[in-house]
Amino acid sequence: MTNLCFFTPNNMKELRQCLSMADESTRFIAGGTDLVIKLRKSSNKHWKLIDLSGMTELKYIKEDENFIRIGACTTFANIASDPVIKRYGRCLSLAASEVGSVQIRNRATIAGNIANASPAADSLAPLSMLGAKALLMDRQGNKTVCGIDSLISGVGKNNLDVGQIILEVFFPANKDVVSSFVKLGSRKKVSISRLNIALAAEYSNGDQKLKNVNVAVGAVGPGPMSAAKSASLLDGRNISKEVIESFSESLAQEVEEAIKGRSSMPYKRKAVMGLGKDLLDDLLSYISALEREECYDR
Amino acid sequence: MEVLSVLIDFIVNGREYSIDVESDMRLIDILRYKLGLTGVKEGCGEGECGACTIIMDGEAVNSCLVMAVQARGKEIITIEGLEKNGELDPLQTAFMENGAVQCGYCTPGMIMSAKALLLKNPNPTEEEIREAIAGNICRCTGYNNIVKAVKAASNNIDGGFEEI
Repeated sequence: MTNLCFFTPNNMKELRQCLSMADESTRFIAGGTDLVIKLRKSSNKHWKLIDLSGMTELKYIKEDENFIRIGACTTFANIASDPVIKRYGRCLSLAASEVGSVQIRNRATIAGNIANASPAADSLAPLSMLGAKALLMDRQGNKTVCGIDSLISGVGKNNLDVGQIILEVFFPANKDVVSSFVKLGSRKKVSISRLNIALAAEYSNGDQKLKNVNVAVGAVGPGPMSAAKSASLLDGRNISKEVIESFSESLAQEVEEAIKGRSSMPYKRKAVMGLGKDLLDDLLSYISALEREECYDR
Repeated sequence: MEVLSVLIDFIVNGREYSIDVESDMRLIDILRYKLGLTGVKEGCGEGECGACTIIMDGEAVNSCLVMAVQARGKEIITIEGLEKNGELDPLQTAFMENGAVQCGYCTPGMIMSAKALLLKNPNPTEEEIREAIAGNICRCTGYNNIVKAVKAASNNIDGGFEEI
């Protein structure tokens, strides 16, 4: 039996009123690219739907003194084409440009991708690498800040309370951070990640060495898996052919340990090696482009 | 603010509508079953095939993934809205002239994705065309003639061919 009740807030005041009435049956819908499918597959359609598509106040990308701030309802199309994100959060920009198709990117939102908590979500590993946090608001209107990683509690499960909403995602505006993202899917375009890797590191022009390297692999667990061992192989070193080989070997070991016993392990173990090389290839060509242009404008 | 009986106002193919919709209806459902715009096709129902693509506020979207309520206040164009005064859109003509249609099921969605591209970028590169239609699956023609058609229309979008 169908029983859908829509709430359509158009500003923060109306949104707070909607949140105060939220209960276990409440769901948020923004782009709808995941929720509409779930809704049609679900036999229990007694949902209160808070439709965020009219919340223009939550659609923005802003740069302030210390942080890049992305409103919850900002679409992946907006993120992929934004120069501020390209400069400070390249891995997120690359990931956003590979989410689904043009049609999906025109609707799917950053907060929806987080809250849906798919292991294959493209934005989670990049956000984690950029040290992103989420600004949340609860039913009483109280605001709190939470790391993106700690919002994911399991496959398709998040840690948000009933009526608690993501208002904004933000990460440090650090000009010395370079980053990359690569993804492997079942077809060239419009595919769901079988594997993805994000990397972020500090880089100063000239010395050709990465510092404070962080690497996360997506689609091998409920949330992004930190590949700290592999990342440490890149720290403070020139990225030579040998370093690339040992990095991809190490990634294979970390993935094998993470998903031991799973039927996808042999495939993912092998695939992550090639993907790791692609990641460093991309990063190195980006860095050399930066140096050729002799500019820090990234 | 609470939508119980769902009355939505929106513009479809230049015409204003104010219609009652059931709360579990999607945009594709009202376009097809309330307005009779059956050029909007349903394929996968999951946003993978693009057969249901329409233009909403200038952007290509999968109408199977938009709830009808979310279309309130929006301006929508479907394949039926491209023809003007009995004249086909240059993109439609280019699809016919370049053999870009076989069974035709994907064609309306394919054309709407291409149209959304050309509205923003009247002279796209081949790569941009392929990216724009990557969310539309065709199981007959193999895309080359479709890309050719979009290229042909891109020189003709405002009515005249560019002379080189």
